Amino acid sequence: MKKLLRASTLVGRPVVTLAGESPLEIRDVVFDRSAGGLIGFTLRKHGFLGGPVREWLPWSKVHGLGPDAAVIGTTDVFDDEPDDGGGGDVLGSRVVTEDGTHLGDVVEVIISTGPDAEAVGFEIEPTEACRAGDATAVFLPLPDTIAVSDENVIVPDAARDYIADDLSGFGGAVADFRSRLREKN
Amino acid sequence: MRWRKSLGKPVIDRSSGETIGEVTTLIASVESHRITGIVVDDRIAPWSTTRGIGHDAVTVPSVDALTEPTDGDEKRIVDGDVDPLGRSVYTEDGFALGSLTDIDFDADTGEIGRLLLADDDLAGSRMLGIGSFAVVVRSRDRTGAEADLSDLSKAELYERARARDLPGRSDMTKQELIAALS
Repeated sequence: MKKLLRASTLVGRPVVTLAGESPLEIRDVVFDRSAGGLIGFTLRKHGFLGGPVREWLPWSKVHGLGPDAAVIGTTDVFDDEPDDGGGGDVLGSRVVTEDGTHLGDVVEVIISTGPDAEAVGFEIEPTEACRAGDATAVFLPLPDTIAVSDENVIVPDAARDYIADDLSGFGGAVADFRSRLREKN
Repeated sequence: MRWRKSLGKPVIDRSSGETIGEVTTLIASVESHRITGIVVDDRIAPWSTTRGIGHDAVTVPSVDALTEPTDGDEKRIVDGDVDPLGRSVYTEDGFALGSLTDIDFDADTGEIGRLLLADDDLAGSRMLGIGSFAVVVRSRDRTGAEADLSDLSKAELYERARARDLPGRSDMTKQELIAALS
């Protein structure tokens, strides 16, 4: 069951061990500024007043990620949060093609679920140049690796041809886009 | 036999005929997918010493056959901290399948058959863990081999039918979904 979801919907989802315990829940999803991928989750205690904790869940230690929970082997995988964070907020960044067209600004990161979950696209608030009809948000597929600076995310020109206006058809667009990039190389 | 129906049955000493307590909970092994023990108040009757769950009672050879909890896991079960009924069932890929309402098992061998949800069920052999927060089950999509469709819950079958865009799926019964996906 491969399903796409908005990263922000994971906030508050439990972190569950294979043994069925859940010491903590997801506080925030952290992205790598330099590569655009997910690097991990900050955590908090369960409940409305759950305070943040030092424990950090590195992306590489997630056993399975779905819409309802992040599953881990055991709580041994928790680590200390990296000091520099290693990442930052990709939300709000400008998405610019290699030929210099500003497509829009990132409002959400779209991730795939399952054992090999990853960031597959951005939901962007489109600029006039890229707007199709009157959609206020469109979905832009990501290649396997991208360049990200403090303000800009650089994507191949071809990404433009695979913009989807709803999430249900987006999985196919990501696959088509990535296979086209591979053909070119 | 159902887990819920086993609770409260009297436990009788076969040598003396005396009632020594009642079934307070069961111990399920996620390795063997069997019921391995019957909890009688704060002690445990290993399944092998019993004749399984009888129609009206559980019998043990003598009161001495009961053991104290031997490790932390057993202690938590006896203390009632990890009762699987009422827990949410999650797959190892982070999908919530529903709340566990009951467990169906063989009254003689203790072998676990199905995990029962409110309007659904799945194979007990998928169980990976029973904890204080959740019951975690194997995700059949992970195994390289084609999954046995009868192991899946109806919701999981429907999700597969949706991925393959099978027409008429929303009106299908569980058996019809299995046939259509085979």
